[in-house]
Amino acid sequence: MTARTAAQRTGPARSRRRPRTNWRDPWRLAGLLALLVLVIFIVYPQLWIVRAAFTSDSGAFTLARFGAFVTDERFTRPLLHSVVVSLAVGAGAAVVAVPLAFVMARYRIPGRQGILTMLTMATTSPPFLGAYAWLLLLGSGGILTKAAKGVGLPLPFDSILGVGGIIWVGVWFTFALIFLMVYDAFRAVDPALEEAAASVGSTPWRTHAKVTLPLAVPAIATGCYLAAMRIFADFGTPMLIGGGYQMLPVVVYQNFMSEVAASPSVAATASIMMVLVSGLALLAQRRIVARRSFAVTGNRDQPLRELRRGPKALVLIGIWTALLLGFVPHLVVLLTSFLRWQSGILQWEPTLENYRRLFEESLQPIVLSFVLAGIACLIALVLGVVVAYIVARKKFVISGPLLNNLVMVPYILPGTVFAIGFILAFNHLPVILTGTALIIVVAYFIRRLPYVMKSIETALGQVHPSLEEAAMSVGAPPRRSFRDIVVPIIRPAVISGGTVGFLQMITELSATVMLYAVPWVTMTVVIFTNAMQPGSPFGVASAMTTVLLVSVYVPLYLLRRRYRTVSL
Amino acid sequence: MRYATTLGAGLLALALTGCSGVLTNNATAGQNGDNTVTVYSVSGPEVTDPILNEFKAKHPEIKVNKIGLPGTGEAFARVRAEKDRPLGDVIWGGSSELYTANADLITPVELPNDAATVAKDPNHIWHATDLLFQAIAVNTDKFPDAAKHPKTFEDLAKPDFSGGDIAFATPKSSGTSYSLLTTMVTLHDWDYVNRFVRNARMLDGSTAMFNMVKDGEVGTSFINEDLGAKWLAAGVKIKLIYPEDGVSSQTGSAGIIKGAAHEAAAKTFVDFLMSKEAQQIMVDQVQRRSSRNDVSAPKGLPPVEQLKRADIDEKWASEQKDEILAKFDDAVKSAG
Repeated sequence: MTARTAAQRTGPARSRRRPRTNWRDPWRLAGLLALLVLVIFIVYPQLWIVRAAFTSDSGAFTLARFGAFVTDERFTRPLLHSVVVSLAVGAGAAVVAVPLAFVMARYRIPGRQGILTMLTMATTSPPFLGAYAWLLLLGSGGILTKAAKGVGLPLPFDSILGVGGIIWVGVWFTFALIFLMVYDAFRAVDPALEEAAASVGSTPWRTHAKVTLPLAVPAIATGCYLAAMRIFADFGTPMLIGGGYQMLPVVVYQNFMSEVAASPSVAATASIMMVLVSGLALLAQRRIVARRSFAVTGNRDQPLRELRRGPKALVLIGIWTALLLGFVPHLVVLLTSFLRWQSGILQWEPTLENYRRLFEESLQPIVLSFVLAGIACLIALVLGVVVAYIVARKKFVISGPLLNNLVMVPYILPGTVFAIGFILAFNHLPVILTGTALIIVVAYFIRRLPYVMKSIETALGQVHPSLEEAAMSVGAPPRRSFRDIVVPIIRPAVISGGTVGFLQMITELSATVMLYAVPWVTMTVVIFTNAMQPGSPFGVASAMTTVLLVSVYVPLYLLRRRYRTVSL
Repeated sequence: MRYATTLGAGLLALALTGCSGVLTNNATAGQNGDNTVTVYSVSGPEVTDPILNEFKAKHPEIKVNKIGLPGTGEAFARVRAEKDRPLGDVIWGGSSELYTANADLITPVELPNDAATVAKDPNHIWHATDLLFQAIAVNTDKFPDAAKHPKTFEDLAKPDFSGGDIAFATPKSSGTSYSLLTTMVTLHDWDYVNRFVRNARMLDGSTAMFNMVKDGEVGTSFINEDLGAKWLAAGVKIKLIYPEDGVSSQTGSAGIIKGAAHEAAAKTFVDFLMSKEAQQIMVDQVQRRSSRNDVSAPKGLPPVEQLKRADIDEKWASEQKDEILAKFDDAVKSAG
């Protein structure tokens, strides 16, 4: 009755074909090439981490370092904290995003294109200054905290500082990511399935619970996974507003980069623990996605229904509140870029001085950022489609899971650590990349590939292979069925994955800072240099961030508008 | 879709133009001989820019490529990773102990202006560019009762200290905190440290320690005096107190990276940092203390003679580092 049983029925038919290793399958070759790329740019540079983790101080092989993660409180506590916070953020962001996505996908909402564009924009938080904005509002001496105290409004907290703050900031900087994935999934559900359920007497709520929601589960799982992993790997947020709350990325970072007593081996072990935990999360995500409830069997669009006035008002309030909270960092940065800063302290005097100082320097960083992220994004799209197609469709026994896990490694490693691996690997023959702009392109592409690949994988997960099989059964070669069947269906995901990937690349900071060389100065480097120390000219950093966001959002808006009108 | 294709083609064209430039122009190749110097800086532009401008005026023949890095730890990590083929020439910023600890990455050189600085490295690894003291910072909004403000290190460890949590960065990751810790042990003893951590709130880095007292998240903290003075001038509600029982300090330094491609220019640059002109700018515009005797203290900072500088056994502090950090860990654990 449900789509699930339909999927199960086709299951055995596919598995019967699986064991035959067909070397003439072009995907096999593409998979091997992709694997080669990932080995060169992920495994080879980061091998030093593995080596360090399994080497004792005297240089012998050891497993003892991993023991500490079970016994030593210095590691067990951050590990536990990280897992709890990641789960909380994933769940919290899903609670915000899923209902919104459902309503947006099914009902006529005024200003939907604008809202969708803004949600895409909200997937990027202003680099470096994002969490700082919340501190400026809700810290002990924050603007809102003081205002609330002034009017005698009791706040449930003294300061946003602490674990609650990490989760709060995490939810608002990841919910848009889940929203976009789930929204596409709800849109893609074949209305025939729901109509069928209704025709046999199912109530709307029952249809929703038994048909629609299960069909969106792969997208929800992938979205939650990405959101949870994003906060799991993020070290800036806990560092800035954790107030001493220990999390794993901070442990990794401090042990690698401490100026007093760096212990790369401990940091390496912690990194591997992080990769292992993320591997477990990936396993869970794969399990859910692989239960395969196919939503798309035809290519019919969901009709948009009308909402009654009362619910519509509620929905609009909900959407705009979520958007507002998602954009708090952006708004604060925009506002403060027009205020005077003195030695890193905000002065509440309007000024254009920040922009004047910014434009005194050359505008080259803007162009350079676009060129580097643009190239990296194109490469990521090509590789992302290949890897996603293989992971979602081809039951390659070895290369499939290998690709899937490898792609995610750079998502987990802190950018700085990742960059050290790059320098170690590519600062000598046979491949010298350090000191060039190429190393930044490669770093962007490898670090942000997961975003691109995961959104395409999710889209593919919704398309029943029978469509392709049908095409092939009437004699279409694989290339043709891919071009005519798969490409049109995954095109929205390719575009939205590519867009999110591009936004993530152009705002990449932590690896760029370790890898850049003059004259290859990107926008994020300018932001960083002007905000790197507590007394730095934050105003210039705010101004550069504003320029960065505007210069990204304008083409994004145009692309989104054009693409929506073309495809719908 | 056609739109996307056009966009893609456009980007690809840009990419190819970009790449051809990239592959031929290696920033480190040094075709210009000694006319450039690449500086890894761990200070913000508020510190480096005034001095770099003066350098440009004095040495127009040398082009400075400044690379900003998040901290001294990151800077040395990058230099260590690039060891086989150094891309940088100079590290500038951070205290002298960090240079000594990474001596294998630095070329020892004796420079003409070394003789003029107060603190000198007998091994010529580091070169003194400035002098940095730490004050106790009190947020007067959060902790208004001036009579109860701490005057000494001793006050901070009293069981009845009434200022609330004292922000303290973990000395394992912060050089400033490590220096404060060795000062505590030198002025007092390990029992003092045990008592102090009971009043302290542990943080991940020194930036957090500075920011928390600025934002009023805590009432008391330590702060680098130059930053404290600037924040005071910018209207932050803090008070700087130099502990009467002794003040911790560091020598801000620079060093020449081993195997630097532009060693001659690097020497010119580092020597310039210690010159009287550069030091005068350090005092007047950057508002940091000079490393030279013949340049007086910046406005807003008390003269060195008024401060009781704690005398730390550098050898002990660097050689027994692991033990000192382990003892501190134990103190934190026993404080719960």
